Amino acid sequence: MAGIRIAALLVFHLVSSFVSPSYAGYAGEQTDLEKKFLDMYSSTDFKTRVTAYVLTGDVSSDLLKERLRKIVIQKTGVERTAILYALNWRSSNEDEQMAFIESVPTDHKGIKQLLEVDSGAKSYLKGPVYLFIIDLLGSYAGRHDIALEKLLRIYDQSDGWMAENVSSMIQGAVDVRVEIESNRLRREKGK
Amino acid sequence: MWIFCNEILTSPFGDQWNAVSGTHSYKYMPLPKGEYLIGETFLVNPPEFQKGAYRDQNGFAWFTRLQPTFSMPRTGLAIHPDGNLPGTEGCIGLKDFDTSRVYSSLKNSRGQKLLVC
Repeated sequence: MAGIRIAALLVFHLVSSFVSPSYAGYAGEQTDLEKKFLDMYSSTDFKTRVTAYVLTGDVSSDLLKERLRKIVIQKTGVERTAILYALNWRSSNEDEQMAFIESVPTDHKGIKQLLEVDSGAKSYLKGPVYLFIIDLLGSYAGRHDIALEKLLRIYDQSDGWMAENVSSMIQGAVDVRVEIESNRLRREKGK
Repeated sequence: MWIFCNEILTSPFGDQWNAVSGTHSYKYMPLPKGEYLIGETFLVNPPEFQKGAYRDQNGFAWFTRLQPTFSMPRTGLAIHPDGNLPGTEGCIGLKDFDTSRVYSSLKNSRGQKLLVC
């Protein structure tokens, strides 16, 4: 889905061009892209902030990741989940992985807000039929029981194409679990 | 006007395709009756995305957004090939082996109305 993610990033650049950046006060050498993202993190607009958090996952920048690690401490709800998504995308830090899974909401209001952000209704993420944060949760659901349980709760509250996606993620997680169990049984049989 | 009725999608020119809606799970009923506006139509790449949920049997994956003209609690409703498991979560899922013709028709129908009966 790299094409879709890049498309979303381009949309984000268009959005960010409407915000006048204030570069003063940042320490060290920063690229224009990093400056723009840092500006978005402190935007007063919720949609801008969560879009910036999610798309940081695609930006190779230690500076941005470090900034997000500082910001995440002050955040709750879907903003916290979006930041932890960015820190986990293309990363294998188990502590951050568990923090991300734990942050995914299970209450009706929280799941609704997550679906709205992830589908672009309450963000500038416009990847066609692509769920960003929930897709990452789905990628963990084959091995993490809590991730699968949360995915099932999200499925219960999703509709239309979003429900189709989550349903496919659940199928994928079940496939992974079946494969793990089959391999275990084969190994036991071979002993 | 496009019409979806009795599991048949009909174009304003009278072309017809077999389709289903809402038979995927216990959860959701078919697309509610009423009038919708046809939105953007786009290709889904790669076609295997989400276990081929939006892909026809010929390997062609695409998606058309639908906007209800009335108030209702449902969201994310659309038209697309009925890939992966048979049935949909409320979307209109096209059953034909090759859906490229209906894709082309819908791509040129943005802003037109769809009546669901």
